[in-house]
Amino acid sequence: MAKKQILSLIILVFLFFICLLLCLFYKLDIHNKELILSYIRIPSIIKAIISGSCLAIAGMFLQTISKNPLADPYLTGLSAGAGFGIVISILLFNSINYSLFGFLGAIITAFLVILLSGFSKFSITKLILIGLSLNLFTGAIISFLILKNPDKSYEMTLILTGGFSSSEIFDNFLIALFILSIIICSIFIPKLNALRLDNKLIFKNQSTANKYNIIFVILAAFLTSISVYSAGILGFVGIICPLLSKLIFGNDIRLLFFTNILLGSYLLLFSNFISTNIIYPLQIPLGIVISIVGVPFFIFFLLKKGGILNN
Amino acid sequence: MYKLLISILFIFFIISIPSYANNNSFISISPTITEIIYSLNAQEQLKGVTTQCNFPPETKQKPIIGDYYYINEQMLLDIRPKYILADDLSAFIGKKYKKYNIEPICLNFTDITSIYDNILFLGKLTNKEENSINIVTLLKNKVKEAKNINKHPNKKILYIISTKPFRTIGKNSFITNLINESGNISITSELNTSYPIISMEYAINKAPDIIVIDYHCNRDENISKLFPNIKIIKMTKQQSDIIDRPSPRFYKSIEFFAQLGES
Repeated sequence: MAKKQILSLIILVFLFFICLLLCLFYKLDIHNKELILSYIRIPSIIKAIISGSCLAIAGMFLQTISKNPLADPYLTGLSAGAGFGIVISILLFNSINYSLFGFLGAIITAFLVILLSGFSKFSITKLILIGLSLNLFTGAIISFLILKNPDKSYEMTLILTGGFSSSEIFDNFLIALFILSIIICSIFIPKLNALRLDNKLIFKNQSTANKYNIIFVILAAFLTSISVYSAGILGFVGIICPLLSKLIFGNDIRLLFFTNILLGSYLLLFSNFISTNIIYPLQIPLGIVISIVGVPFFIFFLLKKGGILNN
Repeated sequence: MYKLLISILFIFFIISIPSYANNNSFISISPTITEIIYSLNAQEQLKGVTTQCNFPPETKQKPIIGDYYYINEQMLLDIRPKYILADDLSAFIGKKYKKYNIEPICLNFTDITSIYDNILFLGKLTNKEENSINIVTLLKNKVKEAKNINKHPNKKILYIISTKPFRTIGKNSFITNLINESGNISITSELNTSYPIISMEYAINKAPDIIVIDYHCNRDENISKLFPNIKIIKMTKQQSDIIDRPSPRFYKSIEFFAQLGES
């Protein structure tokens, strides 16, 4: 690793911990500190780390295999699938476990899209187009359900925008899913380094490359579903973090895997801090803050180091 | 034969054109306004309602022309009302149909005084002025009676609309006015907005005595953990309908809030 990269990594780790401490102790009321820490702040921090990491890694996987910097974790129609699950939970089950319904909706949609893309004749373009079609189809059904249920439309719209207060469940199951997914991803990471190059030069035949492509699409879908489970549908993180990591730390996927975890977590922790404190006691929806915080930062780096993306 | 055919077609054409003469009819796209119209006994002029208009039960006999977000344009043109009556939530729909010479009337319900003003205004519009004056007088007396019910005033109330995200009532909400009129205090009344999304920590630090949860609020077991040893009341649909609507039944909401202090 070059000195510049090491310095960048140290700065990122430092910023991450500063943000973590701010999220934990900033303006913490002494009388209710146990209640607030155990039920509000610590769960939010864990959810931020889980969803930020998952989205950033999923984005990195999809951008690498599709060799397209615009690839997004919700590429395979996951956002609409998750949204559909959440809406069904709100309408039919009085909002019980809607995070779980979102998770299941995302997983089922991803499975359907991969299945329709065809294992033997798999191609990324086909996957993107089928994902897009399914997204539009499910999106239309969600809009229809929101329009037909005006009593719950505001609640549905707010929950669909995502956020840590919008996610319902915080339990060991979520943490177990996250750790499991990180372990599996770590096993496959070296293969991704090969996939970022020209597949024809690396693999003997296209079917081997396709096999790994499918594995990484499934992993990305699984990670995104965990993020939905943790914080609802949060856009933008999955596009910006992999690109920023690449701009700052180069092309080595092994390093990018860890920097994406750090950067994704940091972006969500920082956005969460801003969303809950900047106009306290009012809260700004997290999705809005992520874009306001992330976009200028991203454009700055893009203008400064954008040439790297061509490589 | 040809002339006869032309004459028949002409008569048919004249009949099919909607009549504008003596037209003081209107449709209501606000459940609150529908309730006021019925209380004024002016329902004959009411030619259409929305799916949300469910009180009084007789509203079911009126044609349903749409909901909060959508009006069936064909039905609207068939009815050809003179006015569309809307509240601040549905005002944007009403304005769309000005192109058909259907005048939108938007009534704002910000506090109790605005309810009295709007009842009197609708009384004038429907030529039921006397009824409107009587209703307002009756309501003023009911409010006085409701205030006297509160034997344990100054209870700090947290009114929750939804928990995910955590949404409550602010200074500009009509419900805040109802709570204050009942002799209790809404702990979020200093927030300078209508229905803000707030930090849950703020509500915990304000230490409410009673929590009232709206009927439409999603189920959340964490509320009892976050607010231990605090009286939590989950409203029924009927109670929510009364509290959410600034209709002539609003005095019942004041009675409801005034009685919360009783164990």
